[in-house]
Parts: sequence; structure tokens; C-alpha cells
Amino acid sequence: MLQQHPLLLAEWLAARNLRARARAHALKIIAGGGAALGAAAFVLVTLRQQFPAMFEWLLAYRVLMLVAVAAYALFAVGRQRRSAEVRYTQFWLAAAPVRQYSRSLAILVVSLLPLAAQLLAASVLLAAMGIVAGVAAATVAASLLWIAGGAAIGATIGWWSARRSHADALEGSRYVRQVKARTDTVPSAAALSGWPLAQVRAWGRPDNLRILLMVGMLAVQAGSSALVGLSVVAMWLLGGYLAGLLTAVLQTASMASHWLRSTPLPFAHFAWAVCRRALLYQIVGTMLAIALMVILGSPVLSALYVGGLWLSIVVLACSIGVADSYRARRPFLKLAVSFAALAIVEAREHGWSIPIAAVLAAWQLRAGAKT
Amino acid sequence: MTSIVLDVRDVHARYGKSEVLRGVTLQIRTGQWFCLLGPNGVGKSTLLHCVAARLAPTAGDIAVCGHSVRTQTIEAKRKLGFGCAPEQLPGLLTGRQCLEVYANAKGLERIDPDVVELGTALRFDAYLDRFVDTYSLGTRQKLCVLLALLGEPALIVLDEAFNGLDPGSALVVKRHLQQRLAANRCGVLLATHSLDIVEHYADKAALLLDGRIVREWSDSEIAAVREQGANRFEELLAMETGAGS
Repeated sequence: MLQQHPLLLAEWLAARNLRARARAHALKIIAGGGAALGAAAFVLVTLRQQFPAMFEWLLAYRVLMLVAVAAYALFAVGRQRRSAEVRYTQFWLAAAPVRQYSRSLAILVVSLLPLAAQLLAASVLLAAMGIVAGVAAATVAASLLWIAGGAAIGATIGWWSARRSHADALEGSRYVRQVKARTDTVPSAAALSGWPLAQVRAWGRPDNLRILLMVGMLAVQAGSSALVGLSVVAMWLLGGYLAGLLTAVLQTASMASHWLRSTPLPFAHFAWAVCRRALLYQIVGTMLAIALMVILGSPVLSALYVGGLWLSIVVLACSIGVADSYRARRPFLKLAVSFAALAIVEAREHGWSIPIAAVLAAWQLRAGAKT
Repeated sequence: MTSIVLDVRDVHARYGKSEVLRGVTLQIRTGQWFCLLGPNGVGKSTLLHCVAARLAPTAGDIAVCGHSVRTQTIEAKRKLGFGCAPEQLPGLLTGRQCLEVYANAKGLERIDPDVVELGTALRFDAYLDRFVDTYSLGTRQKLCVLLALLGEPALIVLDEAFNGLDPGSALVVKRHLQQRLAANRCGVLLATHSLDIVEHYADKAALLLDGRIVREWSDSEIAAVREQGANRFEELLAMETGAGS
């Protein structure tokens, strides 16, 4: 069948070759997968007493859950379809005489596969939660049916709404504030400091923002006052921005270190240039978030505590990110291990994760400086 | 008086289990334009990445103006101008910002006037305040060349730097490099498939095959090949690499 659909055949061969390549790292993958499964089992067993109430809640609010899942599926499939359309116009087989039917089939498969995989993962997770908590199979099945129904409805509307493909070949910088034309060119690292901010703006295109906005609006409880409703939506948008900014620092640190590796740029200079403005924005954003949490009724001390925790996570992630990028290493495993360690410490003793994060960050910066 | 700006001694390098460089040795002097030739995948870019300290050799040593890339990395990088690949340029910065950041990274007080002049000659001025992700391949390539020339480097390392450049711009860059070489301001290491550059501009050329330098041509040998007629170098290379046999 694949022989008659060149695009699908190309995708299938690429996936198969990726699997073959992964075999070279079989031990690492097995170890990583085993660790992830172990961690998931630990979390499931630890939290099993909460699951029956969660299933009850899911069924009590099944219509809301269906709408939320449908909204997610709608945007996910729509985005996948649009990106697949763009991708296949620039694909290496773009000039090959592929029939329209075959092309549409490839786009359909590529658009639906990620959602199907997520649905499968969610089903396995819910089933595991039901088993460890001893929840009735009928309850678990009903929850799964509502989720699958929402996904099917959302996917159908998402596929249909994205049918008029707009070949989105424009560059990311169209959402970034234009730079004023100048006549002088002076050596400066200022642009490096602005790069993570520009990256977040490039990601903050309407297609992505509307998802965050939708989730924020769904999170507002019925009967809330206008102030509370606006605060909840603002909180979601702010949270998305701060998380995006942190991700942007990690990404731009990696890209900038790769680009500037042949220059004699010292680590301290590099780290300060990449993180300076992003950290300032994180501090201001966290203060705003603290204010919003207080407006939403959170005690001031708790809000300050959450803000402090977030900033310590930001500092630790930035330190690991810039240090490892500067040393031409990938920071992701170290980030995962550090966050897991912080989560364990925080679960045992509230507040201890903040000084530990500071120590780990200092250690990482020292390692970077010694490079 | 000329001095050695690049000294590569018995360099080995590998990606995972695959050994790409298997004992490369070469020297470049001030005022010398050195062309590195070879079929795709023989390790030309890998060697250039080792010289730019972007990849650590598994054995051997590389010295830029007498500074070991391995042990005196910062000093070696101060003397180096490396033309990165166009796709590595940051899309969300403007051309001017790229120049500013790169000059800052090299610790410069100001942008070299002759780089500014070269930018004007390449008609790059109009693109200075535009984002790099709106550039064509040729415009990106111009920016890569300008970045490589910042800070009066004693060794200029370029990887296929003329790919995508229009003939006029390519000529401007070649003449600029020749001026720098004639004034003994630097040495140039260029990895290329462009044989007209070898025939008309190179002082020395080497053929890299299977991770080793298998043949070198001096200035006089290149001139002799050139006098044998058009396409002679092409035939010679085809014979050496076994292509078309």
C-alpha cells in the first residue's frame, strides 16, 4: 500500500531508520525508559488515594472535560494540518508527481498521529490509575470514552477548519518588534540579551496564544467575579509567557554558543549577556504573578513562597542551560535530574529546594567558568 | 617576513565510532591562500571545525599563530576568523546586531573600517537592519564572510564561503582577501570545490581523501597545471579521487 503513496513511504522509511539508529543507543534508551517508568509507578502509587476522587470529578464535569479535550484536539489537529501542508510544499518530494489523494492521505495521517499517540498514552495512564486505585472498570471506561469522544469531535472540526491551507512560509521575525534603522555599528552584547525575548515574541503568534487564552478562559469557575475571571486568564497568560521565556533562554543559549564557539567569548560574559534581560523579565513577571495570586485569594506568604520557588527553578535552569551550552553539552538530562531532585526535596521538606537550587546553580556556573 | 599562522600536526578526529580525520598535517604561512579540496564527506569541514575549536581532535595538535587550540584556546581564537555556516546565523537578530555581538564576543572596541567598507562594496548595507531570517542564502553568506573578517584575524578559515554568492560579490570578496594576503595581514584556509579559485587565487592546495592529505600542490605546481589548459585541474582531481574512472 505504501508503495502507492510516496509521501507516506518517505515518512515511514524515515521513522524506521530513526528506530534503527536508536538501536545504537539501546542501553541508554532502556535505562531512560526504565527510569521514567519507575518514576511514573512511584508517583502513581504515592498518589493512588487521590485517584477515585479524580475519576468522580472527571465524570461529574464530563461535559466540561469533553469541551476541553475537543478544544485541545481542534487546535492540535488544525496546527498539525497547517504545518503538514507547509511542510509538503517544501518537501524533497514536492516536485514529484504525487496524486492529490495521496498527498491528502499523508497530511491526514501526519496530522492525526500525534493526537492518537497522546490519546493512547492518556488511556494507558488512566487505566493504570484505575488499576492502582481499585476504581471500577466501568468508571475508567466511561472517562476514557468521554475523552475519546472529545478528541474525535475536536479532531474533526480542527481538520475541517484548517482545510483552507495558508502556506505559512513567512519567517518567525514577523512577530518580533522591528529594530530601528541606525547608522552606527558598535560592538555590543545587547542584542544577545534581547534574543530570548525576541524568541518568545516569535513563539507568541496568535495561533499559539489562542490555545493559552482558551485554556485560561476554561479555567475560570462559573459564578466568578469579573476581577477573578480576568486574574485567572492573566495568570495563565503570564505563566505561559514566563515558561516560554525560560525555554527561550535554554534554546538561545544553545544556538548562541554554537554560533559564537569560534570566538574568545568568556563564559561569564556569555552567561550574563544571554540571561540578563530574561532574568529581569522573570523577576518582574513573578512579582506580577504574586500580586495576581493574592488577588485570587492566596495568602501573601504562600504566594511569595511559590514566587521564590519559581525564581529558584529559573535560576537553576538558566545556570545549567548556559553552562552546558557553553561547554557544548546537552543540558536536558541534567535539567531533568535536577528538577526531580528538587521535587523530592520539596515533597519531604517545604522550602529546602530553594537553597539547594541556589547551590546547584552556583556549582554549574563555576563549572562553566572553569571551561 | 612570513610566519606560520596555522600548524596542524597529525590530527585525528572522530564522530562517535567513525574516524573522520586520520592524521592530517599541514601548515599555512602569513600571506598564503590555502585551498582544501576533496570529495564530499572526506572530512574537510571536520578539519575546519577542529581548527576553530568547535570540535576537539582525538589526537594531534593544532596551533594558530603558535597558540595551541587545545591548551591556549582563547589566545588561538583571538587570532582566528571563522566563517560559520549560513544556517547557523541567528534568524531573530538583524545583520547589524550580528556584527555587534560578534565584535563584542571577540573583545573589539569598534568594527574594523575595512569590514564596513567591504559590507558597502557587497551592497550589504541595505540589509543591516533587517532580520537574518529574511535573508537569501547569498546575503547570509556575505554576513558570514564579514563576521569572519572582524578583528583583523591572522588566520581566516572559510568553508565553501563562495556558495550562493553572485559572481560580482564573489569577486569583491576574493579581491579583498587578496589585498589582506598581499599586505601579509593573514593567511587563508578555504575548503572548496571551486577549482577556479584554486587555479587563480590559491598559493597552495591540498587534497583530502579518507581523512588524510594525499596530495599537495605548491604555487608553482598550480601555475604549471593552469598552463596545461582549461579543465586540467578538474581532470587531475578526478584521477586522484578515482571519480569518473
